Amino acid sequence: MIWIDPLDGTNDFVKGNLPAVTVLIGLSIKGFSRAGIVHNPFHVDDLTKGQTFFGSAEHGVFQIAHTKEMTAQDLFTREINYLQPFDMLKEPAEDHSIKVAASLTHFSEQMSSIIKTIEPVEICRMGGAGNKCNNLAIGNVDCYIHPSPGLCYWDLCAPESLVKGMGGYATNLA
Amino acid sequence: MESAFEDINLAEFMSVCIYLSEECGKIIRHVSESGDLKTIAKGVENPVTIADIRVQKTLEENLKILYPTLNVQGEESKESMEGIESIVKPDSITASVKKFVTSEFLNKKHHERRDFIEN
Repeated sequence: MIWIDPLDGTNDFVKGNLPAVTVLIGLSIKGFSRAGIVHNPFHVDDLTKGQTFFGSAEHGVFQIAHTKEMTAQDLFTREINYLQPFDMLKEPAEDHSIKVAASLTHFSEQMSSIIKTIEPVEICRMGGAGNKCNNLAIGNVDCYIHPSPGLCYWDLCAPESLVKGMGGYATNLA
Repeated sequence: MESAFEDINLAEFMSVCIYLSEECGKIIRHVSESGDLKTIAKGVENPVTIADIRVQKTLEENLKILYPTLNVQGEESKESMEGIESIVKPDSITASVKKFVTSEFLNKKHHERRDFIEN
């Protein structure tokens, strides 16, 4: 089963918040997310550049650069960067605030109060479910919490596979 | 009756999806630069643009041709894609596209990660 979100973060796309936009293709086998491809057409540091992440728990997560100027030959020979998975044995610093990615557009008092039960916490509001998972996979945030209905398989299958590839976990709160 | 099973090579599948997603990134960039998003509201804080529709059509059509035994489910409805054409033609997915990521590469990475996976 392939789950597609053709343009995750449409709200942000419409508002011009382009780095939040991702194209998500996830492969699910017997109900489990197993492999994902996440393309980010507008890099947060340089909107003229893009990047693509792909991977699985078995093979790890890889990052490749993409620009529209690249020739077919450039694309076939570009470097594939392996992202070092999370070091589960490393203890965070005493004063480390847990960085939580949370929704930019669907954010309620209730969500805020649930997330604030974590102490000390730093809430990083950002657009796009795929984009939030990506930030989690590359280690910019420690977790992504969405204590509200609204996420669908097409939002999650691809980026969840990357989170698993980094050694992370995905779960529901129930 | 033909069997509904076929072996799919994961490295090839990933290569194809990387190519398709990056081509679709160009569609999104193009729509963004044109300034004409043709936004329709599907619900509160739930818009859809022409880029969403074109990208889904492109991904769905190509994946269904290449992998007819896989179910493909996207966010946008069939009705919304009526009259829309795929931007990527199946014959542009060449042998070179399909071997960007190779099985040897994935197998090697899997082998190197064995300790990590087991722990």
